Amino acid sequence: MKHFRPTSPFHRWPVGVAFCLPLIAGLAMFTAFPVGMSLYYSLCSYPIFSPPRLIGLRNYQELAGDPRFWLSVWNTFYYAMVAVPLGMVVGLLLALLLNLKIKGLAFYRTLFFLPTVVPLVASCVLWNQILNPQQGLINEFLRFLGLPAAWLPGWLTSVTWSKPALILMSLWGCGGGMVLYLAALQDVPQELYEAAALDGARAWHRLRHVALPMISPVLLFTLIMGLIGAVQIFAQAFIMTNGGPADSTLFYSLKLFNTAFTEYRLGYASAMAWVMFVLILLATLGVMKLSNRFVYYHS
Amino acid sequence: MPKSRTFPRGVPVGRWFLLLATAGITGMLGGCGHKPPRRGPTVISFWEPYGGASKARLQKVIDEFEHLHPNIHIAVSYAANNLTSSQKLFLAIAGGVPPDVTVVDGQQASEWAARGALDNITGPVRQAGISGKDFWTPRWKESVFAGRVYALPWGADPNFALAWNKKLFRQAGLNPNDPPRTMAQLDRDIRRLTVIGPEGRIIRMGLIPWEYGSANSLFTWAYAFGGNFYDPPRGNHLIGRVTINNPRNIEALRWMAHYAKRYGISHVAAFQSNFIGVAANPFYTGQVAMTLLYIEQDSLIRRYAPTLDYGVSFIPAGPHGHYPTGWLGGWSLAIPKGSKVTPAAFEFIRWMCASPAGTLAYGKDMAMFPAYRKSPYYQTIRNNKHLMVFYRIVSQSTHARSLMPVQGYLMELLHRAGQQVFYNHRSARRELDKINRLVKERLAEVVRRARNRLERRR
Amino acid sequence: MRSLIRKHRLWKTTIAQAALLALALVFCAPFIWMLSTSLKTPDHIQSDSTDPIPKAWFLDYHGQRVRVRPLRRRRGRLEAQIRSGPYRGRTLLVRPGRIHNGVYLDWRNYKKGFEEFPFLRYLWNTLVICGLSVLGTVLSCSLVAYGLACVEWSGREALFWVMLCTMMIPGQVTMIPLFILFKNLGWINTILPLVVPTFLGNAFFIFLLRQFYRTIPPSLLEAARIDGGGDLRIWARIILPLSKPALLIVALFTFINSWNDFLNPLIYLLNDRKYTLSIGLTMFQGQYNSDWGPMMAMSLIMSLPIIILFFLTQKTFIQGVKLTGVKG
Repeated sequence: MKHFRPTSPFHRWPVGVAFCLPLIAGLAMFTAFPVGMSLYYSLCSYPIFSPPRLIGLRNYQELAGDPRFWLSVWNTFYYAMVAVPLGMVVGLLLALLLNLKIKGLAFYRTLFFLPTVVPLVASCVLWNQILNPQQGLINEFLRFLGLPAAWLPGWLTSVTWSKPALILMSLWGCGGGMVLYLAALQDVPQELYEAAALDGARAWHRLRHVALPMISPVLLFTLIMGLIGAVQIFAQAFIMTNGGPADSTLFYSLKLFNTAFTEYRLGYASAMAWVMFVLILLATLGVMKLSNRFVYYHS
Repeated sequence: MPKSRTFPRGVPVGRWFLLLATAGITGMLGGCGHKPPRRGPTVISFWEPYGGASKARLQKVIDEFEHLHPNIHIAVSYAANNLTSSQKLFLAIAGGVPPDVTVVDGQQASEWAARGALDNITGPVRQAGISGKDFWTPRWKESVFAGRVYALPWGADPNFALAWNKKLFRQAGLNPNDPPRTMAQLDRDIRRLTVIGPEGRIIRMGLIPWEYGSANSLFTWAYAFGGNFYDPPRGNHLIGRVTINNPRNIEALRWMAHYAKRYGISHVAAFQSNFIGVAANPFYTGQVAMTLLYIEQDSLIRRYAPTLDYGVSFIPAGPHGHYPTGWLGGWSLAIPKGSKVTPAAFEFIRWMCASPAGTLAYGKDMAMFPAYRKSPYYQTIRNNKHLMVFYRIVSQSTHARSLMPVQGYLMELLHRAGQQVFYNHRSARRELDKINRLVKERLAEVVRRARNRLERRR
Repeated sequence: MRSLIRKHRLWKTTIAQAALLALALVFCAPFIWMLSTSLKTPDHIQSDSTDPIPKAWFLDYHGQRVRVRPLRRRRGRLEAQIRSGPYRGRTLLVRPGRIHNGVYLDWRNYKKGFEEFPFLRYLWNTLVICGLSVLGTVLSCSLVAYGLACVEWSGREALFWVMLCTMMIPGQVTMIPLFILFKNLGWINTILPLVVPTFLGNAFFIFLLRQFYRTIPPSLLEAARIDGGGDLRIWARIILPLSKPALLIVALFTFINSWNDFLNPLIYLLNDRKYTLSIGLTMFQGQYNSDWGPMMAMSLIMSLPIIILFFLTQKTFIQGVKLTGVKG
């Protein structure tokens, strides 16, 4: 990567700090204290209504032997590992389609973006109906394709299909990513696409070596934010499945929420948050490290 | 493709920002300028869990209170608090800005009391001459912890009555005027009434034994089987005996699991997910022949399924259970910790929960049963056959869900146990044994902390 | 060559159109369901949830087609009440066969939705919070992103990582200390906790803008600096105009987030005169059962402004960072 260097980086730091002042102030004022306190709570027994009391590493010890916590971590990573890349692929495909010059683009763009606008409660109700194994849209469609009834997935009513069901639902909301990819794709010269149309076999090659690198900064962004967001998936599970059936959608933030607010164990919940923090951080660091090879900032 | 552009001059976004800024500042002024509290009457802030149309009905009750108490104004706010999500209230209490009075899910009152989230109102309750005899007993017991009163019971929900579809009974060759009274009869009727389509697909269910979730349903059927979850402490003790793995409870869970297996839990779950929302109740549409009825439903059926021909009776009981049987739920009113027990706040609670006028208004405007046993509301339902069934349940029930001050945790564990037994075919006994152990530990911890706090205060 | 390209394009667009139409159907189906639920009478939400067309019962009465509501069955006949036309309110006994199903749009869910809570007041409250959040987020994030992407200084990577880390701590465990913090500032029951932090940057959008800003060729900034422009000038004169589309995306996403945010307004606003639309929406969820008709109606009403906003502005903001023309 090339960097401009008018002066030495050390001389530029007052400028950098000045621009980042809002962020620094925000971190200092509204983030440092709560985050610090949650770290402290993780070392405490804290039943919400009475003050926290230090108990050392006991929460972490208990966590190590809590099978439901590790189950929730597994569920969460299962979801994140499938939903995030899949969502990116679908979002990117939509963006590529919508980057063509065809009629009704504005209409299609709006349509694909629609789901991100719907209030979450409403979309949960909606998807409960769509995923309904007996008369939901999806299974009706599968039946129409001629799938025998015994093969039809039970979606949210089945232990094996509940996570795929939520992943499917998350794909519906890939319009947010699509908008970002569309924005990034505008900088890919149109000639590229026109040539690609002629070349056929070489189209993929060009896409792979020209378009993708050009939008790679945004891909990196959606990947990392997608991971962080997916790991904190909560509302869908809280509203639609409450962790069921049989803990198959017990995600980490649902478990954390229940621990904090129905069991009143904020200390233990904080410990969970910090263990998960380390896991997400490691994942993010890994992605960032890999990204150095694939992300290009300047053409 | 955008037009070619050279260096842009000026700040085109600037104007946009300016516009937003102006709008924003105007908004900030408008949004922040909170009006000073009304001069004159004392203002009592009151948090309720309903919102919407129910809040409008609640407001009618409150208007009546304000009419009778011109020097008190009740500022009602929707707080979305229920068993599983009461963050607003928790944060307000933890942050020291609680409302003067709040609605509490009755089953949580003793738990919140034990955890120090509610104010002790024993003094004013005694002074007002209110005692446990004024309320339906289980509801009163839920409001007391360690011999102290922390809430007044407001509503009493008789859970549940049995409703049966007479037409479907006739079709199945059953006597439409003879609902099941014993578990054996219930089993027979369920089998006769259930219709299974090809591939195990459920067309109609006789009854869904876990229709309100495993936790609430387990309480219902365990009590019907003669089970019990907790022997409350006597005398000066703070911990009673935890009996979650009572053989009758296990029997009830096994009975439920039997149906999960017989009809296939996935099939039943798929069937159930066809019905969401207040109007889409399979009982209303004749796709479930019998249902456990809660009290609001009698009016809901009249509204959404006026042609339904149905009867209302008591739920059946096992050989060791009482007939009629049931348990009471309902909301309570309490003063959260950090708010002073002022005469005005207490008067509001007293009027709402323990006065003839307040409880009559509650019953009439909210169409719910008051927890106040002597409420004149009960005179007004004499001619309503269905409500009289509920009246018998409310007056004869000896159970609340459980009286343990770890109710939230217990509900979650029972929910989970149900799922493990239904889906993963775990042993009912082993699951309930496990819960018994976990709850016992948690109970000991909560009570130990509560005891320390109570002693420190002394 | 030209005509060949054109031919290929025609062929390609046809395929793309077909694919888009199919996808549009997939994305649209749930919306159609939402719309139809919001227009169904309560009796019909229950009876057939898969039928997308809202229906009601009708009867030919004195040569007129009137809408009826079945009340109860009486000796093989149906007692029904007329709900429309000049005979409205009249109750009849009819043979069940005489009543038939017909298309009927019931707008009462919308009426009910508006009546459930003070809609206009909540709308205003929501707009104020959204407007300020958008302003704060766009302003602060673009400044910070410039500092992180366009200014070289040691420590910017560290700051970036600290910022990223704060996103990985779930709000549920920082909620209580944050609440206490705002309480000590005296901000509870005002919109300040919802608005002031937005002026201090948002990790998500800073990261997003940083990614866009980093694609700006360094030569461009270098040239500007050689011209003698200070950083603030470069930010205002070059970066802001160049990234207007990206900023619009940030504005839109911020708007949607705070438009749909439920928990924060609920927690920090104690008095329900100050509540927002998304809190109003939860009022349709009852204890045991919920009123989906009005809820779907209100959800649609709430989505509508954003949809329109998106439709009108989408052309501008999908342009990312406008680099075309400045590249050498």
